[in-house]
Amino acid sequence: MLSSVKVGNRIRTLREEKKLTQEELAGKVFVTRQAISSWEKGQSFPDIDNVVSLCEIFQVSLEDLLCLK
Amino acid sequence: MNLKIIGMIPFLKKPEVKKLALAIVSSPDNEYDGLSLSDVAPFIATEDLYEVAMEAKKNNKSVSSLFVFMKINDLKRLIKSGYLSKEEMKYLVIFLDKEDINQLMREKTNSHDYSNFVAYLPFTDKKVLGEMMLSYALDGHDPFAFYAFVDEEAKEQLVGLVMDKKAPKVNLNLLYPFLDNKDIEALFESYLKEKGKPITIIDKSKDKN
Repeated sequence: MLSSVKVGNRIRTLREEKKLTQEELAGKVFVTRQAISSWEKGQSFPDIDNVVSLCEIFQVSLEDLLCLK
Repeated sequence: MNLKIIGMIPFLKKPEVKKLALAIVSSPDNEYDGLSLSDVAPFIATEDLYEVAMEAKKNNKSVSSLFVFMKINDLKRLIKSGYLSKEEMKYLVIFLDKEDINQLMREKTNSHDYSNFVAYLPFTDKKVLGEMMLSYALDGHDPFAFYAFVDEEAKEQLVGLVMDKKAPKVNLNLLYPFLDNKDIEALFESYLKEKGKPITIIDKSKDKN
């Protein structure tokens, strides 16, 4: 079972590595800044479509984004 | 003389208490001379409780105040009647033992009657719930409420149903966080194939090692 906190932390780390603000990432994924904030805080998981988008934007695998190792 | 009927209840005979209880549950405001069902419940004869409860339910009244005084077999009959509300079913859970709950859930699965089951999820065996979840999904419902309570095997079987398009109402966004790594990857791969998208985000290199 996934950990929303781990996934949220990973999304935050990858966003910061790409030097993106929450607002900028929200614009690329077509969600609100609040949605990004909620994912990063581990309050919710991104939808499957958003997971795919995040993998593409950050250029990481599903395994990496969702901490499946 | 200012006589209050509530003070007389302990001295009434069983048939009189039953008559009083039936009068309460048959009245539109669920009262008789200021008395409610919970006032008379402790004094109703055990053998009369089921009849009073059924009469109350026919009049769309709550019977949760009777549960604590009822025999377990009468409670089970009451559940089977299908008259109990969602709130009453929730309250009833504390009166049933594990095997009663498992049996109730098995019966619901076998009869495809999925009413008011959510309150019982934390108290039901994982295996019983797994079977119920798969049946629920096959019957065209989204079984998201089950995910936190079923074992990995049941979730793996659900992923199989999703991939075979036998469970079209399953919301994948709610399902994937509850899966193990292998099933998450399988689900995403199936999803991407269906959408005609390249499967570049799934790291296949580890499969070769």
